[in-house]
Amino acid sequence: MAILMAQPAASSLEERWGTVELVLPGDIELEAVAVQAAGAVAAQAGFPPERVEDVKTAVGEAFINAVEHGNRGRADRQVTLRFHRQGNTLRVDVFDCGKGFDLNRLEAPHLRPKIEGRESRRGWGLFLMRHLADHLEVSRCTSGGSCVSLTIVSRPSSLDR
Amino acid sequence: MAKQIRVQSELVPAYAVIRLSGFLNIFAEEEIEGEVNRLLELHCPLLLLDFSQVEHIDSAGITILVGVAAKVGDAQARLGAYGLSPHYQKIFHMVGLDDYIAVGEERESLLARLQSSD
Repeated sequence: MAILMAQPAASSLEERWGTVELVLPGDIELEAVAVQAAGAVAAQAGFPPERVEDVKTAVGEAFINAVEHGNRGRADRQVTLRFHRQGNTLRVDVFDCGKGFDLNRLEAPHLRPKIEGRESRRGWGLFLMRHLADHLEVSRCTSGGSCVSLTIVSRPSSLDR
Repeated sequence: MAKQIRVQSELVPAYAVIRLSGFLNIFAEEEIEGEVNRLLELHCPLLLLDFSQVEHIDSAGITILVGVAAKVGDAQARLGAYGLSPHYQKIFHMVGLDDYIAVGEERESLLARLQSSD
């Protein structure tokens, strides 16, 4: 079901596992696996507790986006999560089989019209990714498919102080 | 097997507590909305959501909570939440949910605050 791979051992922690990759079937029921793996990687990388929670939420949303939009709900299409650690920064690339999307064309959700039933109550996934990650980008892969990349810096948040 | 929500509620004359545990995601929608509808049909004036056993809330969970806030507001009842971790308190504030759901650290102080504002 899932393949977890780490790069070969080396001397420093960073060199020992500069990259970790998790390949999952595109099944929404595996959201918890993606979330818990993201939390484990961030914690192992020494992220403070609140930033670990940010990583879990942002990566969980990227996984859901890949399953629902990228792979159009087809569980036979895979989602790959690739975690790269570099210094105090974690970059997470989430690959799916879709065509990607234009981040600039997606508007930020507003709560009031959703509460009042004037627009769909959905649409929080990208909002959470944008607010919890330090950088977010979407790219097309030359080999097909697309990738959502989240960059998250390990720094104490106000909640960890 | 997906991680799923468990919903249990306790109804006293003045309020009801809905205890949630597990993952608050797309699979939780039917169960939470069903319980909220049931309590509102009983004319419960105040609903408290207990998040102390919730492991994770995703965007679909936020959508469910937006729907619950709307439904409770339409019924002219009030909604509170306690037991949220600092991370989810931050997300509630980020989304704006704390404008519609009174957030407290724990049940007794939240209840005292809501009942004193009657």
